[in-house]
Amino acid sequence: MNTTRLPNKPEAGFGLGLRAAHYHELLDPQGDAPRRIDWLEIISENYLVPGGKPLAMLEAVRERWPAMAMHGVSMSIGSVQGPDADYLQALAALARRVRPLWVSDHLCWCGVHGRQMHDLLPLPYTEEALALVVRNIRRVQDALGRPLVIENVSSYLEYRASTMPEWEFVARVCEQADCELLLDVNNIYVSSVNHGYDALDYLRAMPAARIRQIHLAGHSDHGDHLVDTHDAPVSAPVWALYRAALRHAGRPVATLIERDDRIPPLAELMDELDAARTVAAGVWPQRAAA
Amino acid sequence: MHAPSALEALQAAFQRHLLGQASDFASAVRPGGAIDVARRLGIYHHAYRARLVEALRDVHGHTWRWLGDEAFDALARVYVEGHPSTQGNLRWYGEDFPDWLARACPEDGEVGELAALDATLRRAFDAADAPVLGLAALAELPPEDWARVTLLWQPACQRLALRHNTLALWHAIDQDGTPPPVQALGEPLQVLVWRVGAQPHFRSLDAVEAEAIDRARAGAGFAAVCEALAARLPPGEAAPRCGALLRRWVEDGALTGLRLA
Repeated sequence: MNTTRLPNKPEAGFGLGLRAAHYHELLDPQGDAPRRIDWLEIISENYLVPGGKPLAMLEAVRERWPAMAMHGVSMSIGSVQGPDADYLQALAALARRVRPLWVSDHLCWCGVHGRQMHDLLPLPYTEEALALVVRNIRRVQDALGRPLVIENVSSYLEYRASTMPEWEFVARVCEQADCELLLDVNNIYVSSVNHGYDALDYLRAMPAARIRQIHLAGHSDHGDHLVDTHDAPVSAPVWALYRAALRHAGRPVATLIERDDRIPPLAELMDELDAARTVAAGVWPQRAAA
Repeated sequence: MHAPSALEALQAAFQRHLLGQASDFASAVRPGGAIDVARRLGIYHHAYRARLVEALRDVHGHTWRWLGDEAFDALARVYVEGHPSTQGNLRWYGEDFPDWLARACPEDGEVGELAALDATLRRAFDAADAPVLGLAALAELPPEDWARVTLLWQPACQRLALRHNTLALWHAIDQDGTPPPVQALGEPLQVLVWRVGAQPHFRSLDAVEAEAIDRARAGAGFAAVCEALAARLPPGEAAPRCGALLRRWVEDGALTGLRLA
């Protein structure tokens, strides 16, 4: 079943997040990782350090995978003060070094008034927040000289102040800021359970032409709510939603499996990546056969 | 002062909730669904603390193993309550955690020192890269130029003074061995931390070498460092000792270059 393969073009290929635990396996000259991983996604902050092993390994891995995406976790695009100018400068410098496929971060806020909560906190879905986020994304796009790819986050609360559903907010941000979308299918599922909406309603509202990348990940089930922990294999409902997301996009989309905790050997994640290929091949059989 | 917008007020209230300060944030959260508002708030409240404690564990790994999960996390949680992060990158959180630990554990002096050693090694780990000065560069320098030389140190180079047998404890923890009993030292043990390739290193120094390194890293010319040594060593010993030290620093890879004044 792993013989049907989509083309290895990174724009539509299958990637994994670069984690220090896998440096050795990724660089093993005998390993099959270059054949099984089309592209890698780095957490930008892990390489926003002065030097040493992280940057040395980044360069070594880049020789095998020139195709990398940069994924940030601290831009705080939804803070009233907007993203920090020094951070944007450092991110732009890293982008000049990595020459990434694209640069992404989250549609959220991480702190205000000089404090950092190191979390991806949800925004209220209001006209005020929409205008602010659009303004901030435009600023970031100017600083980076490229479109920003923005990811929907999972959340555990909703605000009374919201005047529209999250999916309408996401779609309007993308249109008005003219940015691209990193569709995190697991986040949609986690939030749909936590807030009691239909994940397909969310999915159908996404601007299909703007979907640059898809994230898949596992979550933990606490019985009456889900937590986005990235510490487990992708669950069955998320695979089903991934299938629907590919149909909605109307074309193959670059897909990445995230694992940030209880990180297994690389082979296990590569097998999971093959499972994603199989799902995609089921949606696009004619492309897989080509 | 500007009047906060609705969004700013909401974010500030959420943040106060996370920081454990008085906040009316609960009233801004929509009730309903499978779990109540208090539990929804609790998820974020817990995640904030768990993430920062995890970051402290990550940097201070030997200290964490020395204290064990329960004791380390209990201390880390107290630190987190009093030290909101101002760094965008979690990598830099907890810069003063070792000093804080030393004050929090006055009876256990090795604890803060282990944390200082862990943190210093982490800073060396991802400090800026720099060229390594080789012995050939020393040989090529015309003898008359030595009077004008200042040594340039790797950005990863750092100094520590330890008042306990912390190095021995660190090594035992590192190798999953049985740590020796904690001992207070009569004289502080001087330590140099630097990086070779990708790997942080450390070694102990005698008082003469420690003084020489501290003077040289503070910007004194090599000649001035040698003169200071001459003042504390028996006649005739300073010059060969200075030569041996310089050679050792170059062989360690601790120097990045020479500057001529």
